[in-house]
Amino acid sequence: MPSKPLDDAFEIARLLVRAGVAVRGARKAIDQLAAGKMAYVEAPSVADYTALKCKMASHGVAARRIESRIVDVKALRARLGISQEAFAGRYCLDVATVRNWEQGRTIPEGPAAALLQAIDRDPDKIVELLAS
Amino acid sequence: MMAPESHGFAFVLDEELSEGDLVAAMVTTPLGKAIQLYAEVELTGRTMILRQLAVYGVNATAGELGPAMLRNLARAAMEEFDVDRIRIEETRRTSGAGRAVRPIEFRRRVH
Repeated sequence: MPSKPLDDAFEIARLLVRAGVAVRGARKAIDQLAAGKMAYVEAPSVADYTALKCKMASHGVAARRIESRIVDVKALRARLGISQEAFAGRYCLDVATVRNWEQGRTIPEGPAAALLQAIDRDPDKIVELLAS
Repeated sequence: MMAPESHGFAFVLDEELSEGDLVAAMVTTPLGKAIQLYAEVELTGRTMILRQLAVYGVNATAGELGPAMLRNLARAAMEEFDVDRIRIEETRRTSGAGRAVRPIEFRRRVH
């Protein structure tokens, strides 16, 4: 997100392209940043995240990394000390789906993977957010 | 890089940031102000159509990128790329606020 008006939109776009962002994606990102909005990009070729973050900061853009990682559901549930049924009920999941993840029959993807990452990071907060 | 012509503007196409019809160009004005332009470009006969045009100032303030300067820039671009018209379409305000800007057309002066 820009912390001040963009001083060099093309250099920001260039950093993104060199980080593996498609040219059109980089263009869309600088448009969003120029409008003072957040921009989300998928950057598959970042060699040095800290260096990229510093370069972005020098152009007035605060970069943050959102990493996708696979959560070991069985280990997470064991850490919480609850049954599959309780885990599913607590986080609005289907118990059969939880069982399939734990037994490796399916792999959590997309929003489910994001939810599991959030649970892994702060299980109590997610319960609080989901509770009505 | 193309050298400044009589119109005083210098145009540099940025190949790394261009792809297909999406073109990135750096323009230096006669007053030394740098402007970055991004647009989807289509050439139809001697008309250059620019869609989704975005203009970013590097060392220029919004006040320095006024209508007169943009008109001069369009005239210089017509000379530089040897076209008779430049039509700007589908331009939206960068903020996303309000309606889309109406198409604008510039025509080359005949001397």
